[in-house]
Amino acid sequence: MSLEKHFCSSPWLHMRINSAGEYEVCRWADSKYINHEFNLAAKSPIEFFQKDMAAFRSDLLAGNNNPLCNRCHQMDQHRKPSGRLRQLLKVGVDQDNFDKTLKSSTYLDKFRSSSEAQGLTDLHPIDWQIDLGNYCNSACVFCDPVSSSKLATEFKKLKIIDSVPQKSWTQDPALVDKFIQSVCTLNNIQYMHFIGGETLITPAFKHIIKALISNGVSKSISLGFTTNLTVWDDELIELFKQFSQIHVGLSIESMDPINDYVRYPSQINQVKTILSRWLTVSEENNWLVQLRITPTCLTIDSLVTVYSYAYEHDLSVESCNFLSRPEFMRPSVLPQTIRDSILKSLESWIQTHSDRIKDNQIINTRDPNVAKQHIIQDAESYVNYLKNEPDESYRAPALVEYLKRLESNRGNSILDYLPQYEEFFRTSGY
Amino acid sequence: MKNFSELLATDLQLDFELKLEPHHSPLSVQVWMNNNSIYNKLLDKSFTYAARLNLLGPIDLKISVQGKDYNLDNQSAVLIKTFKIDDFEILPNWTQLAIYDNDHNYTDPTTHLGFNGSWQYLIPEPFYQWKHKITGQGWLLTPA
Repeated sequence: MSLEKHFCSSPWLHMRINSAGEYEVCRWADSKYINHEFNLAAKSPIEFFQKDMAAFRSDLLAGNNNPLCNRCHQMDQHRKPSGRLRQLLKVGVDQDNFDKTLKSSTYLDKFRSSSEAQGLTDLHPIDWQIDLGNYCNSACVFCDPVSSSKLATEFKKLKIIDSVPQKSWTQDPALVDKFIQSVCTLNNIQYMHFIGGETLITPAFKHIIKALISNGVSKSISLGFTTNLTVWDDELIELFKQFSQIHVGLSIESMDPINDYVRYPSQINQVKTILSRWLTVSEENNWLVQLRITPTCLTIDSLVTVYSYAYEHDLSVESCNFLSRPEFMRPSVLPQTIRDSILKSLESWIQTHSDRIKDNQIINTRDPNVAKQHIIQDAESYVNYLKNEPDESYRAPALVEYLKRLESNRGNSILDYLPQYEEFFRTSGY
Repeated sequence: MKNFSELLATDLQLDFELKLEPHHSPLSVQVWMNNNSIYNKLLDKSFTYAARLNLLGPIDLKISVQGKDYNLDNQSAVLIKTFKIDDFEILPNWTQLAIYDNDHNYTDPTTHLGFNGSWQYLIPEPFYQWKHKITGQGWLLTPA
């Protein structure tokens, strides 16, 4: 037991609705351990938050190492600002001075109340992640059918799955209305982050945005969303202007063509054009922009291209966690020789930007004033990861088998994008 | 700490440290810490004060300089050399949050108190909440 290592304020602030409309205790939670007992159709989100998350809160107050928090603990281990550290900071708790800042927290009384009431709380969630479903025009190789309809169709065709996932909750107008009504009853909602699928083309997204505007909620909340840089919608841009603040998450893995292979079927030149449009419109409207990355064994080699772009444009770069699934796509699948080469490249990049390095870990990754330092810190976390994560190169044959199946349908070849990995792929069965 | 109950049962305090030095000639100085006078005489040598403060209480430091005759002496001053809480150096980075009320209407941020008047630094909320805000740590959420 260790309060300092395991405690997190997130379950007093935040909850998630997944694409099936099921409630989850945290956006960063390890999906392997999530209990999907409750959903939007059967229970109000406030009731779930106040009562059904009580056991999770109690466990954290007890200082226990809850397996739901595995991903954050892995990030802490490699000094990547975890969801845990970021949620703690939002209530004034600083890991470097944990005891005193926790006891000074704006939420201390709420933690105390829960501690005396078996984890129950009278709070409402103020930070929501909303998964809109899997409606998507992309089929990223690291994604899954629950998050991409295009990939689901492809998986079914390739017989990787027997059937496509059930309809998302946003395809049920009654549930969408129930969700909007629930949001209007919240007494302190501050932030809502929407993900897809592709948010901008999911019909329910625009419907919800319009409802939040007509209900007046838009004036007091920050709206966040993640988009895949393949679509643009002028009407949505105008709607976003009616929110108190906008946080734009732009998904990209590399500035090189490998991005097209990984974020299939995107075209890097089109992606760069749309990226520029987002930067322009965000600057005009004072919106916060972040590049969202999901480094895999296929893209960690060109991560510096994203870092360089972000550094040049003063953007922070963020990944929610170190990729855990699919297991065979983790960067730790790369053999030592390739790891060493990537390490050299990352360390060299860090070295050339070393004037920006600070001793203190930056947790508030959304502060544009420290974007450059944060990029270096992110690069350092991948250096730590590549140096310390156990070797998983035994998963390489599964990776190659998977890529070959996708390529049989897509008519492309990983060797056209990563010729430097040819020996690795060949010895793994390519 | 093993758990939250253990944390609640632990008494935690802030370490406060102040150091003043005379510049040129001694001046008459009075210092209050949370309205308690901790120094009240001529400052003819450096004065160091250390104390343990309530973790959640406000912090109100006031330094008053009096009796300086500008016709006889226009160089003397009191220098605030150290003002830190839990090893967090408040000066010089956050000098501008002090209120310097003096007989020359000098309002620029300073730790060089060369005029008759008072220099006051008020932290009206729990120190770590204040520190979170002034160091730009982003949102500090409060329950509804």
